[in-house]
Amino acid sequence: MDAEIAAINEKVKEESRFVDQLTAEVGKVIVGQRYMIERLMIALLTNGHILIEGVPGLAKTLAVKTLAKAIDARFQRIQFTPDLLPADLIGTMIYNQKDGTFYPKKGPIFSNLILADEINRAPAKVQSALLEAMQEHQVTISDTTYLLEEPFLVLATQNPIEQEGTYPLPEAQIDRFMLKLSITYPNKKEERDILDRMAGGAPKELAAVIHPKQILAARETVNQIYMDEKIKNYIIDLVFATRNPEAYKIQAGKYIAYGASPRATIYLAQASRAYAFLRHRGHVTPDDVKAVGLDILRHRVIITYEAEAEEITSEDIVRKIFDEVEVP
Amino acid sequence: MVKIAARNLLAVLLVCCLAGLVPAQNTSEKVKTNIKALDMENPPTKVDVLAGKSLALKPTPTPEEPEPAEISKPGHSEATIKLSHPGLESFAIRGEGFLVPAESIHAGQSFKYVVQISWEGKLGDIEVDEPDPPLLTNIRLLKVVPSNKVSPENKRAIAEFAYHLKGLDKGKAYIGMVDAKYRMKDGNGNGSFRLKELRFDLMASQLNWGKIILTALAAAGCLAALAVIYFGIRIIMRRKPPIQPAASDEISSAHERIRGELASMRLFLIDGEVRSFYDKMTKLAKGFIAATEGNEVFKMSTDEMLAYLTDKNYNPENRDRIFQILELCDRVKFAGHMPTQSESDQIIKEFETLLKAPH
Repeated sequence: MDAEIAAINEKVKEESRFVDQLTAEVGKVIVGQRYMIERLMIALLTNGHILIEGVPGLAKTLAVKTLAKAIDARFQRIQFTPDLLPADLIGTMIYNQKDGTFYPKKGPIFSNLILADEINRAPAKVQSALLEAMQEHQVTISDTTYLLEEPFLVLATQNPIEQEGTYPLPEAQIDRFMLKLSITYPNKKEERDILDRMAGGAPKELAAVIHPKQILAARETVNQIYMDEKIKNYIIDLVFATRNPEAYKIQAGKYIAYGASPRATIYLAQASRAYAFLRHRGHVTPDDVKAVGLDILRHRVIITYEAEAEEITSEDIVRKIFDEVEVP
Repeated sequence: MVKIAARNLLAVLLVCCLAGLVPAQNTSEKVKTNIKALDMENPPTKVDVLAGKSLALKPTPTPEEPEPAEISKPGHSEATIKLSHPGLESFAIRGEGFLVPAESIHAGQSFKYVVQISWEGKLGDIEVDEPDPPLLTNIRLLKVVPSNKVSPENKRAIAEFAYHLKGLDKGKAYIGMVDAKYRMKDGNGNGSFRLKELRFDLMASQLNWGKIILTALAAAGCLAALAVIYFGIRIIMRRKPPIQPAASDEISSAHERIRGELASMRLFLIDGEVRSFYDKMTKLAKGFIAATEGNEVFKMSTDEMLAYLTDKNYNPENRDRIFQILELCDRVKFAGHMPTQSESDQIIKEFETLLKAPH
């Protein structure tokens, strides 16, 4: 067993070399936002999708666009609006007057990296069309089902400050997003760097560091990363603490309406492995779990009205759980 | 002796109680008697009242069998004008009293009885003395507001006395005559006027929304204050108490215990339970830090603990040693690392050095 883990460690070290190159390449354009870039890579490595909540102007589009360039993948940005139709997203059948036949016109979803901007501005049927594609990695136009090209990553954004006239995603659909990120403003130094870099004329040209196939190969390696029983039990404890906090001596039961789903357990394990991969390790530590835990659980813990009244967020509860559950 | 005193006291108390009860029971009868005694055609004036003639009217009884008021419209009373000089006739002096509102006055409601004397001419032509307040039955006088004005419609000067009143109980109410004197400013003549008494019915009391709202606001204020106190206490209670550094004797006793446990840990190695040895070693290392930094450290990962100790300006040498121990423990626990005998011996040695080191 020791030899197996050592072999995995070696393999991870070898295959995760591109991570530093990728980070450096993306860093040529994006200032700061290391947190977001890392989570994007985690989603790429685990076949997950990301929901981002952040005010406009935080380089969300630029980050995904840059990452797409760096991994030589196709990128599409779709602005979700109330009049958007599922066909605008997935495509439709077009009539050809020359030969009198219909042929499929594929929509923008047929790309590797999709930025679904302001997903909550589109009606439910458009949202569900996207979420179905995210889940199944396939799209049906007319009678034909088309597989989406791998890697396929959806980065959906929500603006937290304008909620009027929006269609909030139901909890069940939010659960399909592996990670929910909360992006904040850059710090003073980063802001200064942004100013200097953007005032310097034309944006820098990026080179593709890796090919999408390497990402798919890395996914295989990530799945092999060793996770000890203690870490698995720690993950189970964390998820169970969201459902029954009193059992872990956490006084938060009255603030939690619903705890995290089993999907959270799966994603927590996968994301922890991917995080270990980014750190060039072939095994998972509790720090890996803690690093991604908040992003996995913050949208899966549904708070009660009492918590809302006391201005306690699901993030506060998840943080408390991570602070209180004993680390192995 | 004591029994007699107690009996006497009891008797006195009983007499007091009866004395207190009997007048109370008879109050209504007394009032009725006083009302009967009252000459309704010539109700007592204030002078009479002050002279004590009608002090029995204090409970403000309603006159029995009131006579119909000699008024043309409800809540209105015309004045009888007396002139002592022919020169006053040219002023066409008139006097009247009226209720505001004129009708449908409820018990507990505030209203006004406005007494006006008006004349054709300027305000400065005639000076009107403030009349004595009328005798009131089932009504309470709140205040009197005198004022002068000129009616723009018919250009009459008006001297006005507004009696702010409040109805007491449902039933008959009575406002007595109002007598007042006036004189010409140039001293050429004077006169007087007398307003006839006014009788009307007070209707059942209405809900006093003002009072209800004020009471509700007061109650809401009290509740808000209580809520502020409650949440304030909760916030204070929620604050984590600062981690108190353990007393030096507690630390040394904890270190003694750790030293003892460390000595027995070689048994795990002898039995080949390497992973159990490193599990125990992690707990001992965390227990060592907890002796000075509190039990919170048990909930921290190795990296978190390192950052925590750095923030706390923990002895850097000891911190690095602890990190080395925990790092090896993590490798064994989470990375499937099988430590050699020398690694295990070394970690015990490191720990022993740590226990001996100054803190």
